[in-house]
Amino acid sequence: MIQYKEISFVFSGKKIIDKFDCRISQGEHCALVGESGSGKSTLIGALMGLVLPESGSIQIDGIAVNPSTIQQLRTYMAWVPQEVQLPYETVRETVMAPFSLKVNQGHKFDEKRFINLLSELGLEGQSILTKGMRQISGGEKQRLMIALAVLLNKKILLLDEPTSALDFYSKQKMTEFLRKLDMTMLSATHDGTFAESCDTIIRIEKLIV
Amino acid sequence: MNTPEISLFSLAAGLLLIIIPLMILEHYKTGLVKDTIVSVIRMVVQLFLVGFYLNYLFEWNNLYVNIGWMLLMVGVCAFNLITRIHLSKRVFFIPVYSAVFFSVMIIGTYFLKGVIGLDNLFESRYFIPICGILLGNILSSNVIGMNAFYSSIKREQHMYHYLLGNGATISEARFPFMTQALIKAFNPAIASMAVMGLIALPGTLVGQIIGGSSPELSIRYQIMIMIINFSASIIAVLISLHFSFKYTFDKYGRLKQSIFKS
Repeated sequence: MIQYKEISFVFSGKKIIDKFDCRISQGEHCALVGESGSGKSTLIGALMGLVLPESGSIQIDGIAVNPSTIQQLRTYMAWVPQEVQLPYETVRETVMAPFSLKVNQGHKFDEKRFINLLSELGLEGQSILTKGMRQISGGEKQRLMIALAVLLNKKILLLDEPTSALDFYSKQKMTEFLRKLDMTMLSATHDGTFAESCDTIIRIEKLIV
Repeated sequence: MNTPEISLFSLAAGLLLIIIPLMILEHYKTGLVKDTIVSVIRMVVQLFLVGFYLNYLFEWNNLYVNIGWMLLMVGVCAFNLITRIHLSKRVFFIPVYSAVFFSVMIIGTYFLKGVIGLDNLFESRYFIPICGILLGNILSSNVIGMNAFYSSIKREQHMYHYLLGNGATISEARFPFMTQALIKAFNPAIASMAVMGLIALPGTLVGQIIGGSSPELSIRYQIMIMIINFSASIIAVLISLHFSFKYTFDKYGRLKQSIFKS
């Protein structure tokens, strides 16, 4: 499904990833672990064409990531970054927003399923949908955004530190929730317990320059 | 009714009024006294020069001179605009120049030909002042609009990337920033139109009445000036931004950081 072929990244003249080679199969859950600055988020960003490699290539479903394919490839993915501020006042506006995009046309917001997903993550769905975005905590926001990404039913789920804002109990729920998902998943994480629940752990060593 | 004369002596007497704001600025140690004096001197000199060459422009009323003068005014406007938005001149000059030119020509033509019904669109007495008034408003709203768009998308790049990464088209990902830019650029103009005539009498209206036109005709001109300014300014902001995208975003839809002056 995802293939990194001898991919290298350079930032400000420094090489942060050198000839990374990896294949992730369809339906596989893969955890990228490593120190801060080792390039985990870079590898995720590169799938969406948000970070460009110095050399090497990436293929998704046999399609090379390049300017002419990137729009199509982005439709395969749902991405939850570690933090993002969206310009919506309410939770309801935030969760409805992706359904107005062309890529999700024909895909209606399934409120019942969304509430079920939230409840699996330990959130009271009906109540949270009535709140303003400033009224919910970082942990609630993180779970909300991950539930939303799952609701969008994409082929690939990309997660950047999916448990970083969660307490111990919520982390367990999240780990269980993600383990059951039938989709290809790539997560950048510092959470050892979550990483161990994945099918594959890829350890990224920070390059010493 | 003839316009009352202002002699040079009377003008000098009127300019003495500037002493009041200068004293206030000096008293509150604003540091703006020198800038104010320089600005007033520049304004007086520039306007005298404008008056001087407008006399000749109106006298000659030459098609090529009028068009050439308009192209020069557009260039000065575009250059001033880019200087104020702190973005790369090399990248933005052509898109901004083109956008300003098209919006002035589209709206100016509609007004001069369609509304006033001039036989000669390029009649200097009408063409040059109307271009001038449009350019003045385009300059101020475009500075706000372009600054608002590029500074917000730079500041909130995470949100922009989030939308792109989750399958939004480049237009969809840019949409919230376009919305913000238009709101910031045009809220003041919209508020101003709402109170036009209630709080203050605007410049065109006053000038026309003093010049001898009836209040009724002056009001019609004032209304049209407000509408053409608003329309031309919005068109210019929209076209400037859209024309600039070719130079400011790469093939993956990422914002090029090189467009920002360091």
